[in-house]
Amino acid sequence: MSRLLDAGLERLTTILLRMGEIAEETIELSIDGFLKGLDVSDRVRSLSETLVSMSVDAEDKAFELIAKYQPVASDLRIIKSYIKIAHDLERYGRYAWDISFIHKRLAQSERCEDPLVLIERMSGKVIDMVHASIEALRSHDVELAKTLAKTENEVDELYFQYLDFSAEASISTRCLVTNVLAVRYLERIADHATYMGESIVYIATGEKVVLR
Amino acid sequence: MSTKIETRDLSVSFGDVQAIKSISMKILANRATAVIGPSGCGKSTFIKSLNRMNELTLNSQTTGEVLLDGENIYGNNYDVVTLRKKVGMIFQKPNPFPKSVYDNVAYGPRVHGIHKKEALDRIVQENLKKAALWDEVSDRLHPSAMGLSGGQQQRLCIARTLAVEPEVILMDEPCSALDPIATAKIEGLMRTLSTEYSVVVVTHNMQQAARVSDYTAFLYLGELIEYGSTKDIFENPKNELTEKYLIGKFG
Amino acid sequence: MNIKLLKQRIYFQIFRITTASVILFLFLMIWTFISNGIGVIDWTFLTDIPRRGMTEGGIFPAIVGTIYLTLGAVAFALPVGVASAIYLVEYAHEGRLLRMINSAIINLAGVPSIVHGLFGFGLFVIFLNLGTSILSGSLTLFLMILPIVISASREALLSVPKSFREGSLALGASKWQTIRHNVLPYALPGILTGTILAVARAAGETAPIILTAAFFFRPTLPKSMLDGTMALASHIYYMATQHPNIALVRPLTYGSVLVLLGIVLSLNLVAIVIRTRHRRRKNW
Repeated sequence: MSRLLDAGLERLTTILLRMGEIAEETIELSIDGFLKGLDVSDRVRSLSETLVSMSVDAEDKAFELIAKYQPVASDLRIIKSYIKIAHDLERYGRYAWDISFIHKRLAQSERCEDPLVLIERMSGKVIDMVHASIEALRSHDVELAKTLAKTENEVDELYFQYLDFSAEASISTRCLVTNVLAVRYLERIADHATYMGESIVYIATGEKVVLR
Repeated sequence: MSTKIETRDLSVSFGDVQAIKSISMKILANRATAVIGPSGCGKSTFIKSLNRMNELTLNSQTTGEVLLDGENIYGNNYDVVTLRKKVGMIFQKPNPFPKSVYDNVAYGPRVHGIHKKEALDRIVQENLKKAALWDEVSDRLHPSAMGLSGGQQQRLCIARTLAVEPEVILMDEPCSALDPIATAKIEGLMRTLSTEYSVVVVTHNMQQAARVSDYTAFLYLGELIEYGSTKDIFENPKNELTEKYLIGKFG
Repeated sequence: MNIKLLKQRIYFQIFRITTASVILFLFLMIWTFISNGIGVIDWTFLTDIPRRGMTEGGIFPAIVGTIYLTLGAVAFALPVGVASAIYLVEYAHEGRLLRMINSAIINLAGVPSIVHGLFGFGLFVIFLNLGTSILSGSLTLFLMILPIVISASREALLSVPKSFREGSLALGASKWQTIRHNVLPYALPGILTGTILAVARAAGETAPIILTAAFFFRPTLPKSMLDGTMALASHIYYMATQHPNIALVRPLTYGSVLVLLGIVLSLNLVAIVIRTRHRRRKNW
């Protein structure tokens, strides 16, 4: 039995899934540029701005549904969570842009050294987490969402390792600062992926878990 | 938080038709409890069995217990008249008596032996104030109550019930016949009254249940499906049936 | 012209004529009695005793007798009838017994008045040895009009909405308190109307009182309930069929008829007025 609310929910879901696609593209592009020493900042900025405006749309839509339909139970959980998820996806775009920006500003978009290949490994996992979070969103897959906890630990590990390394490292100051900031941004992206996972678990089960 | 009314395996049938089956639940004192469910789920029958008004229907049979402050109201020695003084009821369609506003509110106290004018005057004013109606009728206490609007009539019925000093107030879909503004006023009353009395409200309007109650019971086909705090029920119901009903996927 | 419309018009005219003829008969009847009897009506006629073998004088004893008989009948019928109606409507359980009782009441209403008269004669006059008396007559009339009072009271009680009773009970009133304060007062106009109609009926009955209470000639007023009496209905019967000189006293007969008609019609009018006023003022 299709309800009046269902059409609205579908549109909201469509916005979020499209945001997911764009967010994936944005992060991959930004990290790619960073690791290879390419200037992708213009494109990344434009994508990030799209995500910002889409998240405003999503939030508006969610509030419209609340005002019109006074949703309860699972409907309420979905809408409440989608508002948070829209914010998480917008953050994906924002941190991707931060990486590109700092890469251009401080390192002139050049390739910086990564002797322990920490950054490359870290960004690989982060991209996986982003994919997982968006896939879990698409299919409301609780198990997949819960795996983010494990990966997040690994990302944190690499983050701490890099921080330790950076304290003793003897690379150029520009690259050092750029890298430290970049791993910081990567770690934040990972955090938001886990927030998304938590929201997805909440939608499906009503449980409020912590995936960190 | 004490239990005011407890039902144990309460079942009511009318002839061959079983209206409610084996309902066991505890209604807490000084809280508002909502009873929701689709049409025909037995909510009216349930609430009427709390003050034995279901006995007014022919061929009604009640089994199980209803304990008011620990005493079974269906017990042999329990006086129905005292019960109904303690447990008042507001009906779906406002039913003021075709007497004056004053005489409507004074009806209950008079029936229970209060006849002195000063006492009745005080009771009438006090309870019309409690029912948020005093300001609107203080200058027309003696004309007939039938001239009041629907919302005013229902508040009059509330004042009338309050005048006999009940401990529990049962409300059977009290707002169904009223417009949104009158409904809002009555809902406000439900909240304020629930601090002093134990209020049980039957409603087919889920949002109303969410707005006014502390606890909600969901009935379906005569059975109690789920009962819990209103926040829990409306945010995260445990039973699938409850979930389906709440989000409108019934039928 | 359209055949449908024509048929409709014809039917309408037929109904009109039928109704008009009924009203016409009524007026004819009233006119006959008025024109023939009005000449006789004067203060003496209404207050004097009959004289000279009832060829002169008045019908005062008959008027008084009718009043006593009907008052007596109502004195029994009103409390018994209302109490029965209250029991039947408020206390009795639905079921075969109740249906049988209601059926019996309707049947009692259909018993021919001569049968009531004979029954009264056998039970009150002979068996209970009350003799030909106002008491016997009143009791017989009481049985006759009881169904009317019960039916009217039942209707009146049933017309009080259930919600009044529910509302009262929900406040902790007992069943009797509810009936007394919240049902009966609203049924009263209906009960009153029914009673007045019953009185009008009792005033006009002939066979029952001839067999149980009435004398054709008694110039003195009755002194107690155990005394017999003259009465308007029986007097008319006697004057029109038994009197030695019917033709001579015909005007007096018409006069008596007019008095009785006057009483009965005014009672009916009062009942109608009460009913109409009650309906208009009824705000529930």
